[in-house]
Amino acid sequence: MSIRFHKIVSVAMVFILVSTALLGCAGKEKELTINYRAEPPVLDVSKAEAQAAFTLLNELNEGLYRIDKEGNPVPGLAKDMPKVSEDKLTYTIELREGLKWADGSALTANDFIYSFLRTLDPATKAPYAFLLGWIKGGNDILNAKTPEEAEAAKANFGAKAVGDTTLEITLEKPVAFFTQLLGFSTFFPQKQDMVEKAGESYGGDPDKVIGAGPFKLEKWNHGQSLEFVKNENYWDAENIKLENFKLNIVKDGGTAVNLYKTKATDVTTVSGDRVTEWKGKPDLVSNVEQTTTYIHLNQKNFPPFANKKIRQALSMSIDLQKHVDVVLNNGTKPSNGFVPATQQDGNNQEFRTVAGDTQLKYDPAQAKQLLAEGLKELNLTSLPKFQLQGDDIETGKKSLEFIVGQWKDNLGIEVEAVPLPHKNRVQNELDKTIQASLTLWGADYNDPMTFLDLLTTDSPFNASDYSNKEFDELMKTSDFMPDTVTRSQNFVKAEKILMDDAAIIPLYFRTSTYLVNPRLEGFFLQSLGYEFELRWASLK
Amino acid sequence: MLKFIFHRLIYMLITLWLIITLTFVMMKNLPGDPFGESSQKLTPENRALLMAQYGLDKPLWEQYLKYFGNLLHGDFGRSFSFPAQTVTQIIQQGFPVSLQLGVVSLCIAVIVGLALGMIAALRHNKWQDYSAMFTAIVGISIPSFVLAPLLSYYVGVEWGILPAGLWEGPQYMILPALALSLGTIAILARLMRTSMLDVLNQDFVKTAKAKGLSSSAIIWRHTVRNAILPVITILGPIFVNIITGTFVVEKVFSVPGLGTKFVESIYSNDYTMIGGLTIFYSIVLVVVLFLTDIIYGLVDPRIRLRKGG
Repeated sequence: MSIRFHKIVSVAMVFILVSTALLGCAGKEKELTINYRAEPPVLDVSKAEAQAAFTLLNELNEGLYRIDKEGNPVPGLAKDMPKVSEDKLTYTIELREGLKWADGSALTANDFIYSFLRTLDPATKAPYAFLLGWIKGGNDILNAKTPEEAEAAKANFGAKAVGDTTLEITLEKPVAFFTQLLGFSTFFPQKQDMVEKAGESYGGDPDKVIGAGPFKLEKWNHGQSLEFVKNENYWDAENIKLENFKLNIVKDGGTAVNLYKTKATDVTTVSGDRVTEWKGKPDLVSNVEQTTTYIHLNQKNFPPFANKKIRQALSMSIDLQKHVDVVLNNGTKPSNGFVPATQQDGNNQEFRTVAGDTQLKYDPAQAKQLLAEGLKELNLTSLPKFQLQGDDIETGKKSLEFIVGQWKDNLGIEVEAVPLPHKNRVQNELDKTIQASLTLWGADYNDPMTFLDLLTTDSPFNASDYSNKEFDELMKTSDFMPDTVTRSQNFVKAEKILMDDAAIIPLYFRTSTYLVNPRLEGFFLQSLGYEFELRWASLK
Repeated sequence: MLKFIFHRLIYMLITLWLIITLTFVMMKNLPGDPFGESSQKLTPENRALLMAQYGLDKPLWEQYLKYFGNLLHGDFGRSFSFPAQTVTQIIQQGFPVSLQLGVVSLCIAVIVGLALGMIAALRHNKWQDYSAMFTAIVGISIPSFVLAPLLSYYVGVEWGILPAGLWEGPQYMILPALALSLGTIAILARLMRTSMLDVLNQDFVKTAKAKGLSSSAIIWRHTVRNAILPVITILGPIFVNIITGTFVVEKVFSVPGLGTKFVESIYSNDYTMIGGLTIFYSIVLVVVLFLTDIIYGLVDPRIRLRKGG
């Protein structure tokens, strides 16, 4: 009896194991699985501020425009490109006909206006509300002191729905990259009754998230995974090839690659030494982000930095190619200016192509001479010791060590490397208490303004306390110039001033590396805002 | 007895109040603000605006009173990092996972650790003793942040027998539980061995032998039952240690538990989450210690009698 019972149990167990294994495999064939290093904090157009949230909002929702592989806006919920008035202030945009939310209800121009106003309302506490400040009257709502003041300001808002399918947006000043900006998730529509019904929990669970994008959120296991399925109500649903995809939250870089190796995932980031074993394989994909790593030299806290020759000497004595090879070793390109590669110039061209190399070249001999001349001008015999702060993560520390070594070898100067926790490093820069700081900046929008603007005299992010009248003037006149050709030329001039002055020392344009299943087609990584795009993707 | 419980309750409340207050002071001294990835980009005006909206511009004592008041109502508030969720919801999602992982790994640790310790004591100074203690030393010396990635890589990728990570069913539990239990196995094995050796040398064991009791009766009824007492004393703290110390293992194996949340909340200055989780964990600790006392009394009649009288 007992033996027979054991036999039955064993057979049953084997059967269950085999069948679950088979089922598991069958399921895996169809579903695309992606590793992501962090959970999106909230899938709310107004409150999103993390890249995970931007990226996923862009899959489950859509703006008037969608950013394509080349980084250009193409019509999304809008029927066509916007009609822009002569003075470049008013954008008239027609929506596609018969647009629907994922639940099948109608989507109208008013859903956009509702979304803009909700984001701007101070009560929403939206971190990216400042992007809507370019729309006329936007800042008045954002800066309202009381709810009544906010309501009053809303009446004068520059964006309006004309009927159900037309939007008219009037700007404060001409913004060259505004169409591009309309593809960013902060400008997506929101469904009012859903927002109000869900209240404070809006954006936290599948039944409290809605969009009009190619996919919809089906399941969200907090801290673990998010599952998406194709949205049949999407205007272009017939051309969405991916039936579903799953995002697993995987925080450990080693495990992420282990999962890729065991085919438990199709997409993952890979970094550090782990990149080496994938070199030359089709799985390894790299993505140049619109992020520049650079050094601030504060001219007030360490007066010798106010001398141009000394700054130039510091800039010319770092071998940038060797720096990326030693510190990163993942194919990252050294910088040749401040504005990163892949960023446009506000005139539909890549800025770096237009501007060329503007940064001072590595030349230790000349650097040494410049240092000597600079010290002479300051009546100094040697450069006093100063501190270079940076992030206390692996690459940050390696980078600090490398730079301090280069300055010692090439200029014979002593510099103290101070690795700090990220928050302290950033806080010191904002407080402007640094001597020198190894920092980075990522673009907020695809235009050189987002970088060059950092170094104007009154910028809160000018941790160098750099001030150049000619540069300030160029930036001020170009700020909202309707003539995009002159504007682009002005930016080139401005960057040249910055680089010739060695106001800051750019090091490299950040490049991230990924492992992507070669069977995944039409998938691409993005250089700004969103991390990846699945709208055109399919699994072969 | 009632007086005893009442005293403990008062002490417990004072402890909790101290923990809450200390946590508040420490988290207010953390650099930075709770405004997520974009905080680097906020201009001073925008930052001030957000600070005011969250009431973080108020004097510290006022913030403390509000914070304390909310906690008294059992309201841990909304997480700064995950604004669509309350801290309570996050605990409800994450704690069962950490608990599950903790219980499984504690079971592994108790079974394996006690067995190793007993074998070592019964085969004192023989090869079994040496190899068991060697295993224990290895277990103590290898920290989980080394062991966990090794398990994930070798068992998960190279041998391919178990998943290298993720949390999707029972087979996903084995590696993280193993990684988490190794250190505990070692502690328990060493403790059990020492304690057993101690008891084996006691007079009553000799008497039992002289009486002619079978060796299994001597071991199980007289030796183990006495030797296990010190082990039970530390089981409570060890259990709390396991369920709160899951951070590294959770991160390596992508386990959606509470340990990762706790550590991340500190990095991101998520004030409400830090407060809520600290209090939650403190309560767990206090309760477990209390339960340990009771179990201790159950196993050792001497203690029960003393307390009862």
